[in-house]
Amino acid sequence: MSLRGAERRSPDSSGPRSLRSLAMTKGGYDTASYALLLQRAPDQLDIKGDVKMNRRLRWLLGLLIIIALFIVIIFYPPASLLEWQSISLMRFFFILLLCCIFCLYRILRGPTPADRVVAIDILGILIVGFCAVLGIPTGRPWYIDIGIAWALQSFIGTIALAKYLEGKGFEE
Amino acid sequence: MIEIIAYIFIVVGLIFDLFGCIGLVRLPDVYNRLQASTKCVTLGTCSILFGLFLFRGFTATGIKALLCIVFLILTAPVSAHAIARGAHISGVKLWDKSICDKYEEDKQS
Repeated sequence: MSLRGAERRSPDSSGPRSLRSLAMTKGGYDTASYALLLQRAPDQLDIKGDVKMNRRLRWLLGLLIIIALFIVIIFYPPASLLEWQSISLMRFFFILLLCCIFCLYRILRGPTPADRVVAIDILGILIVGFCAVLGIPTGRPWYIDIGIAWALQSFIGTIALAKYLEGKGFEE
Repeated sequence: MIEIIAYIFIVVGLIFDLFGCIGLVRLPDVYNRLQASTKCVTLGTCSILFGLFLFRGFTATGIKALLCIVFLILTAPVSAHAIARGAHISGVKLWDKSICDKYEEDKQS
């Protein structure tokens, strides 16, 4: 994004605009030329706008990837899903995937760390339900074993994260 | 007949899961989100596991599903309580329309 901005502003190489394009390198802002820009033309800076645009582009890209994943699963389902011969169970599958996407939204956007810990805990419990739903049509008995192991591991991880939130050591 | 009852259990569990996750997204505060999502999702997943038990009967898979229900019911309130205590100690503010904070009063007295 920043590279494209530099290319866009490069034609009119006069005044503070060229300074601004000079300050924007590939990885972001170069500090020395940024300080120079801050001395000469402080009103030309809108770093916050650039960062916000960057973030918006990333969100759009992730949303497109998730929508493409859903479309691929619905219209071109994998062979293991076609073996189920039960449309309602596939719908159960999609409802659980939707719940997982809500949890991922809260993990990404949560304003405090406690929100993220809550969402991770819920995601672990959802995956146990996922294993149970997968165990019904496939008839394989080891899915529920994965569920039990995941529940145990999720509980231990949540307790550890809660201790980390309290800011104490594990021995207290 | 028993398959229909199992399907009803699974559908009810999925609806509880979905409402819990909508609450996780929509509610304004850490504690509200914790309250909605933990209760709903734990109950929903237990209901799905009970549906699996009704499908399989008293085989190895069914007994494991019952064990998983017991384990979830034992551990989910413990972890929720630990998260709430950790959030309150780490200084997460309540929602500005909340009216009662007993734990803060306990800490001050």
